[in-house]
Amino acid sequence: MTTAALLAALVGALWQGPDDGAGQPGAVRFDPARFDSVTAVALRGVLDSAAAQGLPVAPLLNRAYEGAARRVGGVRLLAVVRAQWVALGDAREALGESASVAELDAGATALRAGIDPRALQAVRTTRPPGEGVTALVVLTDLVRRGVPAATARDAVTTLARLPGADEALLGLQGVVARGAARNPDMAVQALQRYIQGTVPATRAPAGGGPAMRPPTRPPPP
Amino acid sequence: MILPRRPRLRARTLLALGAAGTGLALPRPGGAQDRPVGTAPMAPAAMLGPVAHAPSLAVLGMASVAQGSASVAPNSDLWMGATQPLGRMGRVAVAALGSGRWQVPGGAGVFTAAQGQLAVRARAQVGSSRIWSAVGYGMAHGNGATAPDLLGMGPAALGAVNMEGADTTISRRVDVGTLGRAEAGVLSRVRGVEVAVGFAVERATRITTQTLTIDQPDDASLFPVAQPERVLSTQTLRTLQRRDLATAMASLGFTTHRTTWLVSVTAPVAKWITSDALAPTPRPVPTVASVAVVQPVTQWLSLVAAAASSPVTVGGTMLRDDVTDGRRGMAPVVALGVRVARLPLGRHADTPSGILGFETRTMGAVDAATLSLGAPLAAGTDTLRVILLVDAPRAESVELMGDATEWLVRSMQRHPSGRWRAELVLPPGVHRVMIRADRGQWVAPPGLPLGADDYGAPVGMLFIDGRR
Repeated sequence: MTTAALLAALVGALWQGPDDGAGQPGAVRFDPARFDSVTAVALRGVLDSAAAQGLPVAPLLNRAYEGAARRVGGVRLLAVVRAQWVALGDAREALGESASVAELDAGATALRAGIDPRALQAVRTTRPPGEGVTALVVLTDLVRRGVPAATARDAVTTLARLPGADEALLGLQGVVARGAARNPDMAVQALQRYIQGTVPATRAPAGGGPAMRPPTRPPPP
Repeated sequence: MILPRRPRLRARTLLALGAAGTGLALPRPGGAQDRPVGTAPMAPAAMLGPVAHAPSLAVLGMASVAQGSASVAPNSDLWMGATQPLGRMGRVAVAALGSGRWQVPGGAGVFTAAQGQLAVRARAQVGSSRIWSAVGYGMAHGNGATAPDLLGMGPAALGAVNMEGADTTISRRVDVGTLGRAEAGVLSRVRGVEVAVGFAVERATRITTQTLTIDQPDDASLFPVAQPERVLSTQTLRTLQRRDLATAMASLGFTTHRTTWLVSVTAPVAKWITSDALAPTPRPVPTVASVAVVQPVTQWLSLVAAAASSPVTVGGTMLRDDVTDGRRGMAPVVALGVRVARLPLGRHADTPSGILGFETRTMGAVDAATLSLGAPLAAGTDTLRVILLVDAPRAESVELMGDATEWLVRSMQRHPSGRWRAELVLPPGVHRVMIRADRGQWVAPPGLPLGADDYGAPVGMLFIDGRR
């Protein structure tokens, strides 16, 4: 056994790890053998710190495992985990202490996709605690598919207030995904058509519903 | 008696709930309906011929530039090819391939030809590579007539005949040929490029029937005259030619955006020719380089374009020795056509073929993914059994990894329908997942929302909502 493997095994043996529901279905356990020794030690520090802050550890550990599975270097792996750790903290700040682990994870992913924390707060206000995951994931997906962040935020917050909001949001996600697959410029058009066909207030010209922000194109480089 | 309250589980996925507006599947727990979801990318095919997945039909129009001194007009061919999967025997996928070619008559020296081929091809995944083998049989018929006969003129009418001796003209030629072919090869993926090498042996047998028109002085004339009358007569000459040919093949297939490219080279390795003395003299079969491009238009329609340095491998070689010129080597041929996939004949794994006579196929393409939610793992919990179905009928293996597997690679099981199935135990929350086919690139399951691509490629996001 190499020194690195011994050190990694020692880290695993000594570190009890934050109590993240180990043994429960879906619980993620730290396996230091999947990392080189330096990365394992550094990763342990990040996980300990996150646990001390009351942040969920499983999303961080999953990012680490993902990096190991995709054979990226330890430096990059740790950078991603640290970025996710910071984003989890920011997401909790934006979504509040009552946010669920899934909401925090989705919120952190949204922040790392470039979405403004105020957009998360706007989404937070439209959904009861623990029920904002769909809106956050759809918001992230829309932005990733080329919809301007402000337009995506307005669309998501509009649909999130409707009865059956999750279904409407997921419908929006699918329509935009299909539009973007044809042509990136069609993502916004697909979004607008979907909103007009889904939100009653936007069908009537003089409707008093929430007005949709017109699509804005990013400035040319 | 108070029964314990069973939690009312609201379980859903991002993928499933988009059904109404997006065409995504809406599998419910216990439901039997699973439909493909998402906008499936057009399955790439690195072949000019029949599509590389599902029953398919391709139609191509081909034109070759006049070649050699013997040709008086360019050739125009219409080519059709079809693929029909037959099923699987264990790890071996078997498909039937058919192709036909019709040489459009044209020009003064009309020669029409038609041929058809049927083949049975098997392939299997061995390690990270794929091997294939095929046997085929074909028949061809060619019918040609020389210009004088077509124009209703005998050789004597041309004005250039030797009035003293006899002139012999081939006024009609009929070729009937058969072709038996066996091939085998191996295909691997190297840095995103499919590299394939293969070897084929074929035996072509051709019977040529030539009608000779003989124009000669009438020696039977009783009275000597200054200009003896001439007599036209015909004779039939039948010759046999058999050719055994071994060829080596190599190709590179890759995809740029949605366009699939195939660059291939076919070279003769050895040949054995047995001919009657009067049989047409075959010329050497040249090395042929070709490039083919397949551009999807819709999920079922693609445009196909190709160019080759010689038409020898285009449409078969049974009757083509009269148009090849090994010394020149270049006799360009171009082809344009369409390929129709997803015919309503069922969806199965299959094997491609093509007019380039060389199998390759793009590995790793995944068409769509479907989710089904099962029952809770145990009473009182929100953790669900989730069935992930991946629509990759061409794949020999499909694997997944993600949060649910702690990013350990797990093989999916092939479903009798041709889909790939994995059962996951997922608690409520957001779960990242990736899949790959045939040990190709890891991709997000088509149709899933995309997550952050921290490590260079987007991942799919599964969302299990376990609110009570």
